[in-house]
Amino acid sequence: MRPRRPYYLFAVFVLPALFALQKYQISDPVQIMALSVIKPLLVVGESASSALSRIGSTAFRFWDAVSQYDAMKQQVAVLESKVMQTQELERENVRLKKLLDFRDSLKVRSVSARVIGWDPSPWRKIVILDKGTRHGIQKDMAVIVVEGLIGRIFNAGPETSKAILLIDIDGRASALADNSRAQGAVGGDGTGTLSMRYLNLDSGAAVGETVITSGIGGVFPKGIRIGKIETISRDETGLHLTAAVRAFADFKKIEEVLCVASYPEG
Amino acid sequence: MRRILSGRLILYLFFILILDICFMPMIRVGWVRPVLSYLMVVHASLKWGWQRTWGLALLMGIIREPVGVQPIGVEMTALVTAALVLDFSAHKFEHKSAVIQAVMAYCFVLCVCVFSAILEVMIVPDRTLEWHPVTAGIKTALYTAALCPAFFYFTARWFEDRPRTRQFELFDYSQN
Repeated sequence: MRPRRPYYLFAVFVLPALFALQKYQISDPVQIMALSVIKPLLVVGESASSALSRIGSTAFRFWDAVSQYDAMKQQVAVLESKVMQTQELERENVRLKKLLDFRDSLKVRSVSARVIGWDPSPWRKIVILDKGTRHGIQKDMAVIVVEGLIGRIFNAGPETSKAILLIDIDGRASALADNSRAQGAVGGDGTGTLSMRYLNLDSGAAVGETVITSGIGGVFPKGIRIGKIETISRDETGLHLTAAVRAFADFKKIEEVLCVASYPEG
Repeated sequence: MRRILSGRLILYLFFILILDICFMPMIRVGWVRPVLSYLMVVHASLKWGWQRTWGLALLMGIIREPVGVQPIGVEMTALVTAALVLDFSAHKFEHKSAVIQAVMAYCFVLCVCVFSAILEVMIVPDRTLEWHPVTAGIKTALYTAALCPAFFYFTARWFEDRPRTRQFELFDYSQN
């Protein structure tokens, strides 16, 4: 009779080995090197998947576009008048800022990048970008899109980098509400939603307020839009308020991003 | 029996890894996407009749981990442990039916997700065990198991698997 393999020995040896691997911190260099090696495959894969996605969405929207032509024409006229008003406000803002002796624009280092893949773990919300340290990306740079903040760089190799999204279970950003100036921490719970936690009970935060980055911690520049408060309730402990935040950015449709340094250049 | 280190198999493993990273996010439902890499181990056990798939699970873990974010060794260990459970189940249960195969695939994927979450809590400091990875694992396992028939079909085509046939020798010609 064939002797039974002592499979339990596998567990006895494997767990100490895992702890030893963690102690010597070899995960990051190995993962960085591996991503750099397979980057060309990921770029090809992403190009193919983008092309398939564009064909599908174009065909799907064609019929809607025909019927919405007239409505779009009217909307364009309304938007054009709003653009003119915005330009006037911008000019007024320039004058006021000069009066207060503020600097007009903050020069920060930024690098554009493209999303070429998602982390293979089913429950993590981490994207792989096609640029790395060789292109100027560094760890802890803020990652933004036109609509607002989406995350930060948490791992940068020479050719590729990984950005952890705010909706990931480990995604965090210190934030404040723009009207009440209530401060808290915006983060995800891994299910795709954002919440602003640790708001004081007398903070004055209200539904409908825009949440922006506070700049505390030095990771994210101050003033980047995150989302809008939808609901406010007490947390489990009863000591703080928690606000559900609807993000401005659509995390499911991220294609091109901008990686922004926390501190100004020069 | 197919060799585990054959070029065709390793190429196919890399191919489905690229599918997992670049194409599976396109077909996600909510935030749930299937993991084809895990189905490969199930295919080896149920379709090729491998009695020990832990070697393939180990190889799959070695390929997947460098591009992931989990600590090195966690997913590999989870895959191998789940493969041992799968081997035992395949030995004990009849699995010709497509429904049984889908159920076994579901259990395998769920085991990998849960084991990974537990190991990560044990290894990574300041990490607590939460329900989210478990619920995400349940949904991922459901979605992945639903793709079983299509994946098994295309994998069989890739490897040009032929159905096993039995030949019955009616006359013994060796005596002539």
